[in-house]
Amino acid sequence: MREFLLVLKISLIDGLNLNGMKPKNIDKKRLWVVALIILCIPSIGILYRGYLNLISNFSEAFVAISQEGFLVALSYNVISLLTLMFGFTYVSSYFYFSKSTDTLIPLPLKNSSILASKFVMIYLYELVFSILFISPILFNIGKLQSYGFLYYFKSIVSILLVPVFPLGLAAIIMIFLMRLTNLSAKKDLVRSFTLYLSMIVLIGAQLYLRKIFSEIDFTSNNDFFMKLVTDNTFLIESFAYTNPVARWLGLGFVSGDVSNFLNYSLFVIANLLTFAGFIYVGNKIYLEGIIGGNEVASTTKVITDKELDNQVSKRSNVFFSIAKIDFLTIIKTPIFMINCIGVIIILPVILLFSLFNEGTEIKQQILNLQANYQDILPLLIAGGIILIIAMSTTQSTTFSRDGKAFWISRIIPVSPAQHVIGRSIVPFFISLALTIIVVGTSVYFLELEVVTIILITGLALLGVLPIIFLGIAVDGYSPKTTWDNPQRAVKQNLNVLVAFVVYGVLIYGLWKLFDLMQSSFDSLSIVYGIYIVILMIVTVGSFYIASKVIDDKFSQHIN
Amino acid sequence: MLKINELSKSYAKGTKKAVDNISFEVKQGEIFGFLGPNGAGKTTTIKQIVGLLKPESGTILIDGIDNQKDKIESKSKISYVPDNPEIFTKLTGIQYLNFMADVYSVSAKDRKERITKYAELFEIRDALNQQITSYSHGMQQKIVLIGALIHDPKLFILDEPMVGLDPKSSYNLKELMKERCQQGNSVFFSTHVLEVAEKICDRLAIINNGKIIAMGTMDEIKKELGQDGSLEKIFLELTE
Repeated sequence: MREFLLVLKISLIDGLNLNGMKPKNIDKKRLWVVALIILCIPSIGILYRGYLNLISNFSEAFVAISQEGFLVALSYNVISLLTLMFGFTYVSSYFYFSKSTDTLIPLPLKNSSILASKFVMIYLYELVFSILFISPILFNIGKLQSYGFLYYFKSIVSILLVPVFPLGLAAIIMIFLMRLTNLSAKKDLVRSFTLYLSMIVLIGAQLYLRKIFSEIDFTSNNDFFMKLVTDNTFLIESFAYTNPVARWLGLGFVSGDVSNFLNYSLFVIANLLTFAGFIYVGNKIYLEGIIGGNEVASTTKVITDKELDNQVSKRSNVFFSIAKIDFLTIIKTPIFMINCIGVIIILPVILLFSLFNEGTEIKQQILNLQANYQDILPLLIAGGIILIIAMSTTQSTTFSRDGKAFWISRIIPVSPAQHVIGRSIVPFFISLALTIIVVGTSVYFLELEVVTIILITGLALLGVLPIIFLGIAVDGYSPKTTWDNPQRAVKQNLNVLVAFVVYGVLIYGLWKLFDLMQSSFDSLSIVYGIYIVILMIVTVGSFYIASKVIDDKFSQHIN
Repeated sequence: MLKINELSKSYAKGTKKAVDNISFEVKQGEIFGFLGPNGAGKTTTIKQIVGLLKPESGTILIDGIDNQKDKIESKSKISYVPDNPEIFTKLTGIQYLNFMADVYSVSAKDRKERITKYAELFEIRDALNQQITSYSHGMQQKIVLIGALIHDPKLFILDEPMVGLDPKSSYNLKELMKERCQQGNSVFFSTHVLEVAEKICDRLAIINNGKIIAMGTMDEIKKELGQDGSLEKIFLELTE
């Protein structure tokens, strides 16, 4: 225990940068970031307030029909699925790609101490979501039912346990995956592939199960309303096959007999057993996964004269050479690949599943939407593409991903404009692939004219450029190059948040501008014509901003 | 080749002068050693020369070009090997070298010739197809050295270049530095290995607390200080 606490203390200080948070250690040049976050708090507060109101209404409705246990089970189901999905990337980066692991492995520490301390680190991140999203539900129900101390005690225990099962499961799966993928010569590729596959299977399973339940016509069943009123576990039973842990938790929160207490006990035991299972599996095979992962591929062939000739004869211009380095770094680092390219792999899967499951229904809904919003349909579809790219971390972490190798970008004789173009190529191709997928799907669903297709494509590709350039500017201003695992370069990077704020302002401004123009001009062609010209000006302006930032800042960074 | 004039740089809101009004010149065909204890200001000076830090005051001329006025042109004339060569570890050695050749616009013929020459010299040719992440510290140092030499720079700047190199590679690097100077190029490097500085440098400067406290050839320094001992003895006395 002492050993675990010791490792945990060091992991927390290092992982959460606790020393850097001390006022005397805060870099004054980054105070503006702190100020920006403080400014964001009210807007996030407004959104959270909306969530609280929604939950309050839901709680009242479910309590009124005595189905509050279902609400608890449902919220747990959503949060645990999200935790499981994010858990894969967190576990792989903290357990396997963190430099601190290399420091800890040679020390005389038990595997379990290293694993448990890392688990707690990830658990703390996930616990924040549990507190923010599940606690309002439990406390609303407690308030409405005027429950006593025992209920609140149980609620706190539940909130603390929410991340344990999905995270433990993700960790066990990842430990097995890492052990198995060590057999492969192309570990990084295989690991990225298995991560994607796991996510796709999860999404597919959820959508498939949703389809099964949506096909059950509850309302035609005469017993339904009777059961709804008389049986307060009726809805919870729908989780019997999809997520039994959610069912146990839901039943545990239904006031009543011993069986409900037993169900709650099962929830607690499931969490504790998963944690114990994770420690057991970790103790057995974690180390082999780590060591195998660090092993040099001894099968790599020595480069022959012919291969050398081939390699060196492939001269590229500076833009493509920078883009190539950027691309190789992304695809050879599973965490980067998941975060940067994930959208163009996951989105088509979701679209395909949706088509397979609910094709006709969705098509009808979209056709209705098309009929109602004919004029702005190109802008809506292009706007969707732009929003997805704005949510991507590819551009706003481009220099951060270089890590300690960032110095190379700063000493090479490359102009700021060349840097910006080079760094834009990968995110632009991601945007292009996304545009093809979305436009292709739109063509399938809607009877679009060629002009409309061209307009959507043009608006989308022109619209993503300022997003890409501004993301590069944000990261170029203050890249996070000091990180000990790749997760921190893309997920725990403030530049992503700052970029979101910048994109938010830009997208809101552009949306308002279109609105204004639409009310000022009668001809839609004129509106779109002027709008494209404005987008071009914004693109040039953001390119200039990115170039200027790189020109000014590349000789000012310390690291 | 390199002319530093009244260069200064402070940290911590100007309370700590890392480099304090220093001036010196590295001539064409010269190996210039830059010595000093830890924290003396060597790396800060080098980082300002290569463009990693902006000078607070003073000028840096590289082959007559102000590195703050024409950054790209001045960068194209130099190459830099840092003290801790961390590079794109996910690339293979050959991918990294090709990248460096691309950004310095080296022709296919020249890059092949130079990669072959230096990879064989530093005995790393067999590892060029492997990912850099599998390289030892010394191998990473070698690949950075080759990347820095691929465009045949006029001024070769190295920060503690001998750290991590095996004895043979260290010897080869010293010979290479001499060869480059004979070809009319210049070498500017910092080191803690005083024997190396004494043996191969045409001139050297000793920096302490951000100020240059001695500069010239070994004989000039000895004469100026009225000392006749080794560089180690002079260094210890000057920096105490």
